[in-house]
Amino acid sequence: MAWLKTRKSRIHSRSRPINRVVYEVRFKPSDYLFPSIPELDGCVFEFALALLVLPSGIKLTPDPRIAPTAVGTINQFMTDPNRVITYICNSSDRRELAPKPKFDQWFDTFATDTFQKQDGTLTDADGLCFYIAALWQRNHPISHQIAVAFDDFAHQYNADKPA
Amino acid sequence: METKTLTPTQKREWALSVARRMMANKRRIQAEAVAEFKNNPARTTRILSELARLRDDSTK
Repeated sequence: MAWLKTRKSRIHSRSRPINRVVYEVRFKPSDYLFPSIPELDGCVFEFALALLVLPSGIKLTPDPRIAPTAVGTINQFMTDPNRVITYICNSSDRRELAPKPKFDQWFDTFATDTFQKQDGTLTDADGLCFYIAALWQRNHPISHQIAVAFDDFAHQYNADKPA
Repeated sequence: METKTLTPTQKREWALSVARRMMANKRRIQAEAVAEFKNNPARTTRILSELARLRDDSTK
């Protein structure tokens, strides 16, 4: 199935039916997470999994086919070695739409050592927890800079947190 | 990076504001995907036909 690319928004998307439920994977351009790295302009994308069709009578449950399908889609998208994808979810997210632990599990199970993934966890004053991940190719020309920038983001947050 | 001049509290607020923005973007991306799907009858028909075919195949 070919990528659908929206001309105006430069969004890349691909939809797949799994057990009669249709999901769409989207990658939307997003540069604001790495403002200190101009080399990444146009290369950073936010990853989102959207639920398009849920037929009546189907109960939405975690399906073991979602992980390899999503990871396969990400692998294809990441064949451009300059791309970085980011992912976020929070503790109020619906479980079946791949919260962070599930995202980690996908990569632990299916990803090769081609990629580097880094994580961060932020909690706001109301106890809402945000899980953030960034993924890029290990041989990305500025892999170290990306790692430092993302780490900086996570560690700035935790810098003065009580132990 | 300009955030290095911020106090720890400001840094935390900055990080949270980025996280909230990412979260809002994700919700928007998901909503757009659903809206575009519903507003594209040809694509909707094609995907629903594929679903019907899969369902038929699974019952054979």
